[in-house]
Amino acid sequence: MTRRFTAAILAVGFAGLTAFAVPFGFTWETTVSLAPDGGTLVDGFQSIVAIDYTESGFTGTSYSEFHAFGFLWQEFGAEGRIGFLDLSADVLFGPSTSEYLYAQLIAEIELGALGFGCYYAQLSDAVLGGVADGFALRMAGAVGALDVVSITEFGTRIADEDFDGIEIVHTASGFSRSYVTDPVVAGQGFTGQKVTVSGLSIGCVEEIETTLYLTCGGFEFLSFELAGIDTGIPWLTFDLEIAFEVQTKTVSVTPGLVIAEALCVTPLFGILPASGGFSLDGIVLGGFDLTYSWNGVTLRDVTILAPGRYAITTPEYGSVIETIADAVEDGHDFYADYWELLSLEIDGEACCGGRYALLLNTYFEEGAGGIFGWGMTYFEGSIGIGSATRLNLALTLDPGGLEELAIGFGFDW
Amino acid sequence: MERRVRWAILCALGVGLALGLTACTGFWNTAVQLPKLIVGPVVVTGTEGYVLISVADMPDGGIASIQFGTVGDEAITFTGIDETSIVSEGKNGFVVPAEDYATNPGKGSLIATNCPTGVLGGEILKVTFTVTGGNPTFVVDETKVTMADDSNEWITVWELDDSAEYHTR
Repeated sequence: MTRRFTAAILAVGFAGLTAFAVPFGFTWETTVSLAPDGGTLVDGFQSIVAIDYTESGFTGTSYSEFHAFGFLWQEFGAEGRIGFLDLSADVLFGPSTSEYLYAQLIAEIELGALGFGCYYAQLSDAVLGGVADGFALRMAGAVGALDVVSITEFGTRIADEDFDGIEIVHTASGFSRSYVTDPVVAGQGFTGQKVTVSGLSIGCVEEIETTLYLTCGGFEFLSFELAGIDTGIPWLTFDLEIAFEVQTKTVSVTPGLVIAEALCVTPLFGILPASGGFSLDGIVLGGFDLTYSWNGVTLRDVTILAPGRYAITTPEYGSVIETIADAVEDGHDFYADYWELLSLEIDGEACCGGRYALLLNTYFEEGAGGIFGWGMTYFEGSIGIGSATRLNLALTLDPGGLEELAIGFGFDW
Repeated sequence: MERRVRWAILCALGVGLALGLTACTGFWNTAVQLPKLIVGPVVVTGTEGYVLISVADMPDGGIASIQFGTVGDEAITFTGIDETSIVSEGKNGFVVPAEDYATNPGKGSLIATNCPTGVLGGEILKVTFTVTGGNPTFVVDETKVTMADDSNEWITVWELDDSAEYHTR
């Protein structure tokens, strides 16, 4: 009850900041999705309103996201500096369920070569995995060529190479919001200590990094990462990671190929490790990305030669080739079925200070019945009407017909 | 200056090590997070509906295969949904090699697998359909669900959640 009351006070405070906003920025993006082939004409609706307000070096923000099923997210934030102290705060609410969900407060200070940070977060019981709260203290500094980072956890982890932070997901829709500070338990004292030392370089190894992690359960892991091991073969390098856990020792060897920079064709080579032992089966050309840009026009041909291992990410994630394992690990959406993408992108100036941007992506699918194995075409366009307003259009065509049509507008002030 | 920095880092390391060794004595207890299978509510727009099925806190390697019962012993029961319209789409690398919603009315089973990698947390399935009634339901019986991880080992300890409005990953 007290937590919710505190959160409500914070929310009203942040809302008040934005209400008296001078100067403030305002962005409003609205999209209506239509499904012409389905039984329902209007398939989806999304409207995002973002307001920011700056006063005396502090910026207050408000982010509101609406969908057809309701008011999904309301986030308030603040960021600024007091003396040498950098502060940022975020509070997230789920208005459709009238719930306070999450809050984080980050304070950072730099004193010469030393940087200190305090990260506090709280997850409410409205989220599966809550209640949880706690804080983490981060200290970073350099001793000679070595960089040392120490993180002391009191029920909270912060995003870094080993941890992802927290992503709060709306179960029904899958929409999510991500934050750096991840509270993992409730009301705990010390829960973990991690020390990372990096920056050491020796003759044949580009960089050595070691990490020791202890938790309230005891020793968690000790890892050594050796990046860019020179093999003496100009086109071949290795990354070596040795991780000691309580009952296991893991050795990972990641071979890499050094390819000269190409003008417009970027090949994606990978090395096929043998199924057992430390030997290699061969080199695989996973695909290539041919790109040519001229005067605001970009043509691309992205081809996957090893489907099942590689995939093309969606336009939201750059339409690049990634291994499926990496895409899943990094949370990137990808097309599992398409092996080739032809893309045309045009960017230019529209009238009255606005800009236009067009993207036409055509995908080809193995075994598809369409002409040349055509699987799907995606088009999105945005045209500025003046510098503050733009109209947006997106459509998806597949062999079954017009799959999706979305129209919308954006407004900046 | 560098000497001070060195001392500060050494002190921090010492404090961290002491706290870590204290932790090793087992005074502190961390709540155990069980792997979770999360079945979302039925979302309806007009006559079309869908259900998202996600996982969270899966063990090392992540979930790589899941079976929702078998034909004749289905794990899924549904009402107010046209069974001929049901399509299951794999997410995050999952594919659906087999599914059945028509053999026994109102009941369904499916298998989903992920060959390239396991999923620690995130959506694994989206089930779309046409609704026929006012309050369609889509229920999973956890006793008939089996899953395995990326190392092809059974994930035996997990819990089903079909009521959470929000979850983390």
